[in-house]
Order: sequence, then C-alpha cells, then structure tokens
Amino acid sequence: MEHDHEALGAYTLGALAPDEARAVDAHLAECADCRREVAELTELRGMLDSVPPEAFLDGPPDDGELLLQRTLRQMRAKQGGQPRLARFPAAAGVVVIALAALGAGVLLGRQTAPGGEAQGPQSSVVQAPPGTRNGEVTNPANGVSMAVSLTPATGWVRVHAVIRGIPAGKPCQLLVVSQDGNTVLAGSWLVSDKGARDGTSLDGSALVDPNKVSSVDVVTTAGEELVSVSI
Amino acid sequence: MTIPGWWPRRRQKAHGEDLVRSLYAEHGKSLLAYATRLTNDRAAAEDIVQETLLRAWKHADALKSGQGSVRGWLLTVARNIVTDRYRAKAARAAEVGEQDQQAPAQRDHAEDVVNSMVVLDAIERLSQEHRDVLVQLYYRGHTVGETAAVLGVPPGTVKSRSYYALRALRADMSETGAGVGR
Repeated sequence: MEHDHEALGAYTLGALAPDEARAVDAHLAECADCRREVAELTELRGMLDSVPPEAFLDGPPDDGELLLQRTLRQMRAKQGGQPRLARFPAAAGVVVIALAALGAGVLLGRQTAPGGEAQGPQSSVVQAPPGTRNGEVTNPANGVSMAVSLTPATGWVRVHAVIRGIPAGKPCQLLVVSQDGNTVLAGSWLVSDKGARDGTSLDGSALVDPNKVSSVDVVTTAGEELVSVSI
Repeated sequence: MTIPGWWPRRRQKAHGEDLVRSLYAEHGKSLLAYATRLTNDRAAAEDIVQETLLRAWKHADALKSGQGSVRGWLLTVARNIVTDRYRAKAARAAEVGEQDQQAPAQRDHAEDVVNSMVVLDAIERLSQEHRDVLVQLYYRGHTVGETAAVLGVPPGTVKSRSYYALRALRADMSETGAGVGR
C-alpha cells in the first residue's frame, strides 16, 4: 500500500471497513511518517470526545410546544412590574370565560408572587407537578393541533392546552371526557386573529377524577369536534 | 390601512421573548436530548432546558456578543445545572442521613467545560462539507460507506474530507491554543 494520507482520517475515526483498516495497519507497520500522522490525529479524538453527540441535533424538540410555553410564561412572570390583569388575557390570545378564568387566576397568583427578578435562578423553575400527563395530537383532517398537559388535583384536574390551526372567529370549548363518556367543560373561547395565527394557550379545570380521564377535546359550540387528545 | 404614527395597541412582549423562541427553535432538540441523557428523566430534563433558556435570556448580552458557540454555551450551562442540582441533592441527603443517593444516570465524559466549548466552536468553524463528514463518521458512528450514502458523495470523497477536516481542526485549535499541536 502507498502513502494514502487521505485514508488516515477515517482510519483515526474508526470508520474504515475492516479490510481497509487492516491494509492501513499493515502500511503503518512499515511507515514512520504515517504513524506520526496517525498519532497527531489521534490526539484530536480526545478533544472530539469532549463534545457530546447531542450537540449535532438541530431544531426544536419533538412534542416540545408545552415546554416552550412554560418557559415563556416563566419569563413573563419574572419580568414583573407590569399590570397583569390587562396583560394576561391578551397574552394568551383568548377571551377567558367562566372556568378558564379560574385557571388564569391561579396563574396570576403565581406570577405576582414575591421574588421577581431577585429570585435566585435555582428557585425559579416551575416543576411539572407529579402525575402530570402530556399529550400532543394533530388532526390530519383539519390541521388542528393541541398540546395538552393534565395535572391531577384531589378528585379533579387542571388542564393546560395550546391549540393551533383553528380559524379566527370560531367559538370553541375545551372539554375533558371521562372514561364513562361524560364531558365536562374546562373552558371556552372565541378564536382571535392572533389565536388563529400563533395558537391559543388556555388554562382550565374540570371536575373529573384524574384516574378516569379518557381524553381532552376541542369542540365548537355547534358540536363539531376539532381535535381530541387521548390521555 | 395604517395611519402614520399610529400603531395598534398590542400586547407588550416579554423582553427577549423572541430570543428564547429562536434559541428553542434552533437548539431545543439538542438541549433536551443532552439533558435527558444526563438526568435519565424527561421531566427533570425539561426543567433543565427551561432553566438554561432563562439563564440565556438573563445573559442575552453575553450570548449575542458573537463570541464562541451559542450551542456550546447552552449545553455547558445545562450540564452545570445538572451538576449543581446533583450536588445540592447530595448535600441535603447527607444532612438528613438519607441513603441511596444516585449519581445522575450517565455521567458526562466531558470534564473540561471550557475545552468542550472550544472544540465545538472549532467544529462550527469548519466548512459545512468537513463538518458533515466529521459528524456522520464520529458523532453518529457511521462507516465511510454509510456516510457516503447519507451525504450522497463517493466514499473516496468521504475519506478525503474526513482527513482534511481533522487537519483543519488541528490547525484551528493549535491557533487558539487549545493544547493541540506545537
């Protein structure tokens, strides 16, 4: 074998086919130049090893919408100082009615908790409560998608949902469906222009046993089912 | 029609929200996969990602200065948070005399934080062609033949590119004083 320097890169990285690697081995046994070169390149491997392989994945996580929304909520909460009552409904892009308002109240309470910017970074993370279940579905028929997070309370559930792909102007309801077929309203809203464009984020609650939730559905007030996430 | 000087009243975005959105869109998968491996726990990993992004938001100026790899910064911060939490947990456990403290499921092999950032930085400075071959061959563990198929180039090209990629990397890191070469 001749001095095939170009094969030494793949050789060093351990990527040559076995027979090719053997050929390089045989050549190295009698070529000091190439041995020196391999030694130099091998030094690099230690450095390459310091970079985790995950460093070469691109894009957002799969099913990652809820995590992003949670992070953005946390940011807004930490920003502090702004009048929240005026901001929140607009921020969520929804008209908050009835039970959904309760969810908003819970969120507002958390946002205005003392600390704000002064909080240490360690204490700032919103932990997903134990037992939280997540689901994400896109309805291929109409392109409507929902990412939902269901947190059990004692005998009832909190629901956080991010819904995309519904045209502006549709009156919608968020329903929690139990295994025995009962549906409980967790909130309702009218899709805004912004909601149609960027999605709508909702917090609600429903009196359904956390162990008996079958699905979370979005249904128009006319009864048209837009998307359903099985839990 | 928009009347000049008039702008519809809009929700005031949290300052830096666009930054966090774009970081998430570009690096979210990488961060979450890394944090998941370190913690072996999806929920914990999501918390790590969230905290990392919040720190990026707080340190936006440093991040935007254009020095070094943004992804390297994020991954390093994520790993530091994992390490800090593990230490905090171990300290608390020692106080109350708990047993069975488990180390994070998989310790990261990178001990030298600065080093990994410098290396990632250098890899990002490689040409796209060199970087692709290096990532396929080394970080994805593909053979020359598999890489050739993935990238749609002849095996000989994969070999030569991998060789010149390593040489370029070595030259780059010698310049930046990362401890390779003379």
